[in-house]
Amino acid sequence: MARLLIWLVLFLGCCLLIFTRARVQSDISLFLPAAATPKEELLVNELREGPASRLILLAIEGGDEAKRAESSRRLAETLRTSDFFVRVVNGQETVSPEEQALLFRYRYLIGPEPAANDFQPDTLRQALNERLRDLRSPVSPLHRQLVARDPTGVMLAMVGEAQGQSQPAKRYGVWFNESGRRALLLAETRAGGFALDRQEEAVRTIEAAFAPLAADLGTELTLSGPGVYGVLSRDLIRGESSRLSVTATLLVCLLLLAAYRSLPFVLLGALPVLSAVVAGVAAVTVGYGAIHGITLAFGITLIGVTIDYPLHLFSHLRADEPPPATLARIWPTMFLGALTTCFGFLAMFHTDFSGLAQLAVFAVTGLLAALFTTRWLMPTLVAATGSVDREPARKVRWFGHPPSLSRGSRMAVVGLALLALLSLIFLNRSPWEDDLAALSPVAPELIALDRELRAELGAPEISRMIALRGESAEEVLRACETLTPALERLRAREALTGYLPPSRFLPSPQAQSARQAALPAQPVLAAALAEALADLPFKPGFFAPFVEEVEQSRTIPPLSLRDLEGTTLGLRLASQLIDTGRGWLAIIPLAGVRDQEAVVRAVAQAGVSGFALNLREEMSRLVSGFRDDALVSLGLGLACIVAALAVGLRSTAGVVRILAPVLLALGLDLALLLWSGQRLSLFHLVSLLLVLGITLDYSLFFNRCGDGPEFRCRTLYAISICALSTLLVFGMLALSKVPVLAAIGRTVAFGVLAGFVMSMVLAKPTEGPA
Amino acid sequence: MRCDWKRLLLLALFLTCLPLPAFGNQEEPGPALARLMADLRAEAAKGRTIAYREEKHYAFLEQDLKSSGFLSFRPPDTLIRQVLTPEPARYIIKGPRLIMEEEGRPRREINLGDYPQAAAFIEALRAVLAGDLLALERHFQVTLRSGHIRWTLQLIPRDPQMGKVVEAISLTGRGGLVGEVRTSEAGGDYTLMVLSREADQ
Repeated sequence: MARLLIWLVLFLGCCLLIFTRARVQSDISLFLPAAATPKEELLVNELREGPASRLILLAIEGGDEAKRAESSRRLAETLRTSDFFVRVVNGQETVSPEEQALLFRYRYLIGPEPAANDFQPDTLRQALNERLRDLRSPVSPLHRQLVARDPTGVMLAMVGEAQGQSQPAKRYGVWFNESGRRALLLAETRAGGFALDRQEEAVRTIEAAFAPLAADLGTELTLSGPGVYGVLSRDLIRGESSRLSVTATLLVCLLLLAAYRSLPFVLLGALPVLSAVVAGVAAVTVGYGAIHGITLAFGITLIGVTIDYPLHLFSHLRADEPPPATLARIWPTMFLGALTTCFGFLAMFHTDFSGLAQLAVFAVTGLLAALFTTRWLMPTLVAATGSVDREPARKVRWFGHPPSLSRGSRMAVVGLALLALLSLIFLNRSPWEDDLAALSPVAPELIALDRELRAELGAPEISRMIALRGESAEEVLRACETLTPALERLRAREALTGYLPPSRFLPSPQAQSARQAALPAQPVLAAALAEALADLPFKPGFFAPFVEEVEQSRTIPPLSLRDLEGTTLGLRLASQLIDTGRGWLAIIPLAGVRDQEAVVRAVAQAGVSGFALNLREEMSRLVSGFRDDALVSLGLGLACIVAALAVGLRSTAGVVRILAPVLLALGLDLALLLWSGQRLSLFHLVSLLLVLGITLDYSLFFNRCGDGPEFRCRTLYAISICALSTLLVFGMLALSKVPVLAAIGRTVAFGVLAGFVMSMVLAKPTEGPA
Repeated sequence: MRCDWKRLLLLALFLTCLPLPAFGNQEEPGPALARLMADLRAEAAKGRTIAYREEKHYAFLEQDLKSSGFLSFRPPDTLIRQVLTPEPARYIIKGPRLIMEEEGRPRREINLGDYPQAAAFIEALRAVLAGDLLALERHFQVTLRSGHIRWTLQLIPRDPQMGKVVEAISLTGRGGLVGEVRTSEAGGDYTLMVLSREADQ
């Protein structure tokens, strides 16, 4: 009774701790390696909250063109009032007259082509002839009003540059795709793309804002983007895993009912698992302050092995023996199995990923909690139910002995398993999954839709870029300008097709001053203009405003980023000039890079602080780094297990006998996975760790020495029930449409099946007295 | 006396309720405009190429700017202006986009939606040639005066901002053929375009 009390106090204490302190995090960066270099920091940053991750692409279909346009306008209007979004654009936003005036005032300081400031008579004359041509063209209304003030055409060049050619066409004043069937919008969320809770709120806000429009106008809304798909994946995984786990739990309960014919046993069987989860969450909360969603999901998977502990007890119960005595008999084996598994999980501690370390704490604490619950509480409770079932004895006998194979047959089984492993030499593809997208549960059609919308919106995924660092916005702009000639040379020799430094829209103060200094004084310009105007049809005095404004441009203070606050140009620059809190970053997107080496060299040689980045490549590198770490964990775990076994068994032969089936099972599992077309990811590796823990238990029990035949029958019965329950749970997962769940399910189901067969047929216990 | 002014008031009220005779209203009734648009559409469907000459008068220039070339309309929404003199160029208005191919300059494509005021005038000619009354009425108040043979279509911008750029566009023609387009810009500047059908390629 005292034990029950202690357990209850501990259990409730943990629950209290969890309810008051525990928080579930969803920040993915915990599962990214600690950023060691500025490059990695930028990458993690870019992944987590970079502008690319914060974009939501919206498409409105259905209704007619006018209704789609109206939906777009009204949706944008509602969303602009929401706090979730930094900006919502649909083509409606025009450069305000104030901003136009500001840009116009600074045209000779920030215009895209400083060459247009070359006011020699010849160049002026050329420009004036161009203006006559503009006036003759059908777009003359565009030019007519500006000619007198801007005869060199700087302003139109600026507008053209800022808008680029990539913007979608407008119909009814808002963005549409080429065919006109979709109205397009772009929203940038305040929260990073991986802050899934905030992303979810943003998505719900959009949906709520659109619902009345759909009802009024009969239009439909489609969303895409990293955050949207993150939320969708989470919903899919949650829905699928809760559906599957309910089904699996029901099936396992039915199995246990059939196996032990006792409802109390089924309920008691859940006790160790429950203790394990509660203890695990509490331990991580104490150690880390919060638990990550992924730790929780993975952790519960890993400690699923603890369901086996009560099953061993139930199977070995005898009518002529009190339950505590039964447990005492099987305890050494159970203890050794649990301890070695703990060592295996502890190996995850070494990694850089704090997420994996959390997982280790969770799994080890949970395992120990379940073990001790089984040891100290279960027998008493089983005794308290008072119904030690006599049925198992009969069923167990019917189940029979584990088969004992001849030496030759054993060698054949071992040979077969080794052959399967060796056959992997002929697998002529990479066994690793480097593409994270392959594990995404989002349907390929949706990913294709995202690509289509990106193309239509002119918001391509930027994979290659250069990041420059500095103390201030001015400094990074200056760095961009230092690098620009090198980039221009690269473009000239086709190492890349394009680059877009922020300094093209806002030159550094130094560059602006240099342009000012190059502007001619009023009399010089007037003389040059007079010469240029000879025998051109412009009437005298027409260009007086131009001469006057050039003179004013020579003395205005350079335009700064602060002056652009709240303007469309300022918004545009915000995604390329980033205040990190510890300095500034300038991002230069690159297009059509053919020679990454040359780009890296150019950055290194330009004497600027920064680096070239290939996001896609870095991403794969990150993923494979993560996987390598998990692989090392697996290896270290194995080594720890060998050491623990060696200490526990004090016999090399014993260690070999117990580990051989486990390793062969892992090998078979790998071969089966790879030959069935899977590529291995982190999820497979963590699952292999679970297989290792489970099959080790099987092997230990099958190899127990000095027991009678009845004990061996009961062992076979117990392990069959354990294996069946595991197969049920993970077999369900294997059927899932969500790739991650299917990966875990298949790995564990294959592995446990192989481990069961291997450890059964290879076991060689020395029989004791009956 | 008191009754009298009450009676007067009633009479006045009664009078205002009567339908007014249409004096002073010179606007042609709708059917004529609809017929003209149908004629224009029928002509457009023939897909002919039209020759044009254009003169632009600007107060700040000492002489008018002249150019000439061909126009062709391709249903449903493409108008191609092929300039031959003084320097070759091609302007294609297709849906909401204007593509400019001018000799010696890079090919440019602009979104007409980005320049709503100018765009209305650029689009007006296409809408007339297409017989698209809906498109015309979106930006302009459309008035038709029909003579025995010739007609005159007057387009006045609805948006006062637009009115600051172009005051009016006036087109004259015969049947489904447009003969002359005069665009009056603010400040007395104008553009005169003369179209003729004899062009053939």
